Amino acid sequence: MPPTVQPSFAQRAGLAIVAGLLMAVVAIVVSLADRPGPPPSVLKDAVAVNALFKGIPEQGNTVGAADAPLQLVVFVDPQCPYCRQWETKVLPLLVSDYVRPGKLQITVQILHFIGPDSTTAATYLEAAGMQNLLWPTIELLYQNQGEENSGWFTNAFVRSLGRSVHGLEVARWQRDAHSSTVSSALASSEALASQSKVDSTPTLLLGRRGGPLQLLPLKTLLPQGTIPFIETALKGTAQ
Amino acid sequence: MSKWLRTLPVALVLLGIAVCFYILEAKAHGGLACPIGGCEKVQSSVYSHIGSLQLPVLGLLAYLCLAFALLASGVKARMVELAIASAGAFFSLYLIAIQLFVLQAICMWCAVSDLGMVLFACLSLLRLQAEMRTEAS
Repeated sequence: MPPTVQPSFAQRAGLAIVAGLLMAVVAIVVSLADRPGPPPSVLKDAVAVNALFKGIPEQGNTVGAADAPLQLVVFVDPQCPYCRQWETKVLPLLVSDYVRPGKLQITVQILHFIGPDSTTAATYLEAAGMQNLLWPTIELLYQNQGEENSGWFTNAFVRSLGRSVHGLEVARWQRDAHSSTVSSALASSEALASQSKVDSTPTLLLGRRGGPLQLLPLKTLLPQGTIPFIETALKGTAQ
Repeated sequence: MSKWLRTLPVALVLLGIAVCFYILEAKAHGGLACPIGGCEKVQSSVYSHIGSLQLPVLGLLAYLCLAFALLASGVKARMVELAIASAGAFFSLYLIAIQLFVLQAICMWCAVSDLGMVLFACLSLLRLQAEMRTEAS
């Protein structure tokens, strides 16, 4: 019987390492297949959102005519799914029927308590406000909002968002997002939320221009939950 | 096989199990201590799980498999140990790259576990060599 040749150390080690590499490759492939794909170059609904706000005056985090008789303040978190519902179902109607005709001015206060994606998104939203383009930016963000705390607000998403907002100077926007002006604006929103006893999002405060703001008891995030209050308040301003 | 080749892998497995348990516990109840920041960003990212399987659970399974492999003797056991450790090490290097280049945030606990796995794979290589020498003599 011929003597059996024992495999060398290199052969045995190589076999084990190759087996390990194969297992790792399988795990990596499964892991990558589980990832959401990159966002499109231009985000969904970009054309409609840009058209919605086109020609309406914006100043920082406020949209609408400065002499509008009614003022609405909205507290939101960029990751909040209920805010998304309000922003996508109610806001477009408010903009077209009340803001564009000069009856209503809306101010958004951005909070970021849900998680890291909220904080990053909030900085980019405030930075868009420095170019008076916060509103199409936040509306597009909500139209394309990812799963809460899933890491969806990536650099790729930022680039797509920047490309999707008409008139936004993207390089300046990305610089501004890390500025002390943005940090101060976010701190101010938090302070205002605390002062107004806002403990959930979305929270809406409505009032006449220059007058006290009242908390809107939102019973539904559909238009019928907000618009009747606007109509009633408008009737009040007409008297 | 030298004393440190026997004891250091055991220490690394215990450390890995402890770290994985800690991450899972802290994620479940909040309050993951993070001295260098970045843990929350990494742990809440899409890379923190494969489907519904959280990566610390996968790490725990890998370390438990290594613990069983450590208990067994012989060249075949060392080869299985090296294969599992290599798989863990390659996957850990991938996760470190994700943290550095994709998330641009480092989770200290994940890094400890990842680097521990890479070190374990290097030790497994030496352990296989030592086991083969012992068998040959």
